[in-house]
Amino acid sequence: MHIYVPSVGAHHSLGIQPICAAQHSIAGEVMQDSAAIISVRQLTKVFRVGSEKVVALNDVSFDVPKGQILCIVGTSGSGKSTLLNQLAGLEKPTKGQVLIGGKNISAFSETRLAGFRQKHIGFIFQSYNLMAAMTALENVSMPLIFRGMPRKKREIAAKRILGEVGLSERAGHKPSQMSGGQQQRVGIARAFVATPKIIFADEPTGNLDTRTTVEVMQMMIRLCKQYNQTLVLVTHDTEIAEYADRIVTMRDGVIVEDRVNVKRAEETKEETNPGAGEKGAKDET
Amino acid sequence: MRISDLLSICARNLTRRKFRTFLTVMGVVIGTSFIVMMISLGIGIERSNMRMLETWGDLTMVTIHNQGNTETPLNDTAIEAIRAMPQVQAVTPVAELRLDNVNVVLTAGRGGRYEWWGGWGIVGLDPAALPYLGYDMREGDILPVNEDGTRVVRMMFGERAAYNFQDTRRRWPNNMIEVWNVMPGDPLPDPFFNPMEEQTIRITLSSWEQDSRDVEFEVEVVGVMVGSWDFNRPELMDGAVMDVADLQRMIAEFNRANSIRPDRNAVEGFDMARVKAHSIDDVADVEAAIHAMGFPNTQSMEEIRQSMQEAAQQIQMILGFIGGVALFISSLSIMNTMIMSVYERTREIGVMKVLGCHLGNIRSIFLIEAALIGFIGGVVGNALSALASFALNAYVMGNAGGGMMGMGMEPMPVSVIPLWLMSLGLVFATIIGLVSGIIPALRAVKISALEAIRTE
Ligand SMILES: Nc1ncnc2c1ncn2[C@@H]1O[C@H](COP(=O)(O)OP(=O)(O)OP(=O)(O)O)[C@@H](O)[C@H]1O
Ligand SMILES: [Mg+2]
Repeated sequence: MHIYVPSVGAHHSLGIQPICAAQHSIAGEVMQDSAAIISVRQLTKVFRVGSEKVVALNDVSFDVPKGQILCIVGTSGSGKSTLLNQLAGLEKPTKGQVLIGGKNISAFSETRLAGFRQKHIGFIFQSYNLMAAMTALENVSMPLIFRGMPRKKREIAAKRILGEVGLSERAGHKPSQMSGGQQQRVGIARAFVATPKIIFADEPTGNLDTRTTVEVMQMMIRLCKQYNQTLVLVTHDTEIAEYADRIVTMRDGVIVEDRVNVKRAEETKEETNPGAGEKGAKDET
Repeated sequence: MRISDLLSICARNLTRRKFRTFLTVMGVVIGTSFIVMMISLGIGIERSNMRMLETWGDLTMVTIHNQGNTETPLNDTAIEAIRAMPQVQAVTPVAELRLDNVNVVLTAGRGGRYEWWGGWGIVGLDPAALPYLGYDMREGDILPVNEDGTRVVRMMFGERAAYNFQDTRRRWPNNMIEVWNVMPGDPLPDPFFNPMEEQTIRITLSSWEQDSRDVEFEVEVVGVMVGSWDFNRPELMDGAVMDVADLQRMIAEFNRANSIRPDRNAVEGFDMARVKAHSIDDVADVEAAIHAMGFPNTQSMEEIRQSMQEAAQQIQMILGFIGGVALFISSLSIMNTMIMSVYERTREIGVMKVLGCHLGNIRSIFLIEAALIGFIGGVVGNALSALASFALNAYVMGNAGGGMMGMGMEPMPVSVIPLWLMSLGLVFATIIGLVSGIIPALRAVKISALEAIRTE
């Protein structure tokens, strides 16, 4: 189900990802950029509440190619978060598979999943989830601390990414000393600091006002495009969805619509690969 | 994660809730200092028991009493057999200058002015054994082995032997110098003469019987011993020590001079012998071996030492148990604190899991935090017990100047904290912390990554 591969060729060389050169290999295997980085196969998730069964995901299948910005939209309770949790390996599916870089992460042990997330996944939360006792710099460093990176090296990386989200001056501030928008920018920096292959975000702008939402969204998109990272974003705000390359709409645990955001695609192509727009549009069908 | 990062995260978590950490640490402090203090009191009791026994006598000494034993004579052969035992360091017969109907008189001074009647407390020992038997000299030398064949009778005097002499030219009470009420270590008055310098000391054996002939020997005092209230060795204070060979020679000469034939039916051999074991632990074995040789009547500090040691150990166990209970309670408090902390940090743990923190690291964080509480409690607890021990000792020793503790004993510390006890306290407290952290750490590991997503 190869729909559209945006900006292929411009951003996938090794040299562009300076912090973690091993990014191209997931679980020891070199991945091919053009192949789907995420493959969802007949994914079903059923919750049991007492004697009742809630089918949160019902036989969902789709592929996400590398470098795509995918937005999952839908009404409340449609199963967006549930889907995202399965993709990030936070929860085991009832049936089906989630393949990331060809590996069935649904079959991974907890320990292996932790290592997998550490190496390849970034996560942005709706409620920021920063460590209250830590400064912005330390919060951003967390994923690198988990990797056992030495202090000096990780602080250089953390400072650089804090600069990219425009918070150099706030490096020494605690979360309680920052606005929601600033906190979410710290959260974004934390998700990107280790240059993971894939970033998941569940309602990242859910707690922000319109102006800040625009700021935060643009920042995420910019960072993703910069290193050709894949972003899977959950929201119920259709305006936000317009930032994505592709929009998947869910209802009652099934995908009811899966479309390419043509407007965005045109923009991207013009930015990254002027003159190749015609060809990309043909690929789409 | 690096160890340094783990430690700094733990330290940060502990300082985040300072008062709660302080209270939990206090529990460990009390527990540790309790157990350390209790054991230290036990050690103090054991040590002062040992010291007390030592002032009563040498703890490695066994005295054989063989008077009236007609079956097994304590003769040279028997002495040699005892000497051959591997645990025996030295052995000497103990002979007293005692014969039926014979008077012993020592005289000194010009014209024999000073007289010591009776000669009680003068014993004949084997000079070869003396260096092992704990004879400390106040003046002069220890009694040497007679190598030059001199017929002069060499003696070492007890600390107060010189005061046994009375001045025959003076009247009572000025004819004696009383020293019985002088405490050990206190200065003694000058005796009538200094036995070390006196040239004319003689010892005379005489009998009341008519036509009896006295025998007289010249005496050289080679040294004066340090006195002690060792009940087994009265010679140290009021008596004197001479070569057992000299003593036998004196008796033989007296018998020859008065044509006395030794009673053929009399038991040959010595009435007494002293056996010195290599160490305290050998005493029981040596005593048993001597019993097996046919000398049932022995005496040593072993039995009393063992019973005192048992009593001290029992006290130590009881005190240690009380301390253990205190530490156990503090471990419950550590566990409670850590479980609370896991509960509070549920979301944080979830976030860490989402960010890819390994389960082992999460487990380590909680274990290290708990162990740190134990460790800090152990350090402070040690410091506190050292302080308490110091204060207690200062108080007790300050109050025990004289009185009961007299009798040649300096006051002993009641609480002794050796280095091993300190380290034991510290290690124990840390382990208690670590063990208390196991359940909370396992709970932390079980927390789902989804806790991070959940919105309150
Ligand atoms: N742990 C759970 N136990 C039982 N039911 C659950 C659980 N998690 C989700 N569900 C149910 O699964 C369905 C999908 O929930 P999900 O959170 O994925 O919705 P959503 O699309 O993210 O909604 P929202 O936009 O409100 O966040 C809902 O009906 C929900 O009640
Ligand atoms: Mg949701």
